[in-house]
Amino acid sequence: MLKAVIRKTCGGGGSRFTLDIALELPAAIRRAVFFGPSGSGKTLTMQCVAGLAMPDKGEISVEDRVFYSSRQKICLKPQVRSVGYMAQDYALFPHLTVLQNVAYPRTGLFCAHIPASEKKRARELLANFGILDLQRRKPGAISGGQKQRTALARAANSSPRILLLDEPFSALDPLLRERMRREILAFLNELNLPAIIITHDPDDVDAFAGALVLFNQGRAVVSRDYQEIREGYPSAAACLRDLEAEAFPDAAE
Amino acid sequence: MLEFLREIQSPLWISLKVALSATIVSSVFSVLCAYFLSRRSGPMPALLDSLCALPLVLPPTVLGYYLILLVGRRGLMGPWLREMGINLIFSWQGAVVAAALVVFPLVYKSARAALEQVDPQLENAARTLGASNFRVFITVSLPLAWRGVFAGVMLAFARGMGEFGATLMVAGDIPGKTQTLALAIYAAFQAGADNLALVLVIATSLICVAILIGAEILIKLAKA
Repeated sequence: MLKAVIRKTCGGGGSRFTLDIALELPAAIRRAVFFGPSGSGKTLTMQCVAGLAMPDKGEISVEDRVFYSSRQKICLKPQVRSVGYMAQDYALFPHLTVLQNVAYPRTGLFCAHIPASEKKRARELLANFGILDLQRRKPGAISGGQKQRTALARAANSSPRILLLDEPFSALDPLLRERMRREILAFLNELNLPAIIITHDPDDVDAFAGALVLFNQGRAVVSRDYQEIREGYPSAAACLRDLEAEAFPDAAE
Repeated sequence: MLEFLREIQSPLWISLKVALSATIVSSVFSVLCAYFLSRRSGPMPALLDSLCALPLVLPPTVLGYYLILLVGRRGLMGPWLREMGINLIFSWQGAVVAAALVVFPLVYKSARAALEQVDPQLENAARTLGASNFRVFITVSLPLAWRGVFAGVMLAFARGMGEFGATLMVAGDIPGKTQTLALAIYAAFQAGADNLALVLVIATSLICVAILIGAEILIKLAKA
């Protein structure tokens, strides 16, 4: 599903940060969770996969397609990677309506003009997510959960080969979080789309792993059979605490 | 009174023609420059940024002189322009080039400030959705920055209406051909036609104030 060997140093002086990871997730794994404290390199890794950040060296491939390789001098532009990347704040275009946002991957220079076939397609997606009645609203006038559904519909409309979700639930209240979790799972299953999810929430790990990738200070360790290990613990938080201590024995609490 | 109107008509028309053309030419270039330079860092973009702002501080006569060195009959591009059949010296097109250079930084500065305010996350989102860099610029960056760009464009138009120094150097002061409002005022004043000069001064002031107020109103209307 994902191969990511990345070395990248950012910043200088006191804010110097080095990301140094070597991950390999087999194709059989359809969902992976990136888990770890803030500033441990999760988002940077995701941006490198999406093509929005450039590693210093390494190799990145998704579903056997090479996106980046410093050895072979390959670096695909984000436009051709077909990666559905949903940023933390959803990054909806505030000047376009919900319908125009969803149709964006398949329209031209004039976003207000959507060809009839594309309009139909975008409306079907909106209907799937239950937000067809919002099609004429602007993102500023809809709620957090509705924004997330819009962002998902927009990403789905670009026919991605993988979905990258950066803390999809952090901006939602707990009840909505539970509901969106179910909706996203149903959506991923329906499209049989591989997905990587960044989270701080142990409940998300339970819902989505698949494979668990633990991040700490720019390093990453894959814990492949999370679900099995989890069975021996009363809660996800306790299980993750032990896994983290095992993966990064030298890291401070 | 009618006689004054006749006197105003020609320089007013030339001023409008020159200012409008110069604003359009300058806006296209300066917005593109602002976009490229706001997305790059390093010593070279920083140097180009200063260069783009230079017409703001250099005297228009200096700019005019540089233009003559560049596009004059014996200038760097002179032979090439002659072959193309373009003559910029002592023509209204020359006045356009001079005014475009003078107003360039006005659009550049405000466009750059506005484009820097656009959230790069939105541009990145558009890229991952498959939009080319040009499409990102047209459909995301520019619509989100248009207010600042538009304010700069209107400021440039108003400034272009009053361009004097560079225009005089390049296009001269030929009544009915290159004599703009600002040049006509100077000519009238020199000739001792104080009444005509006053009328031209008031007309120019009114037009420039109207442009600036009009711009404010348009921006307010769009906000509502």
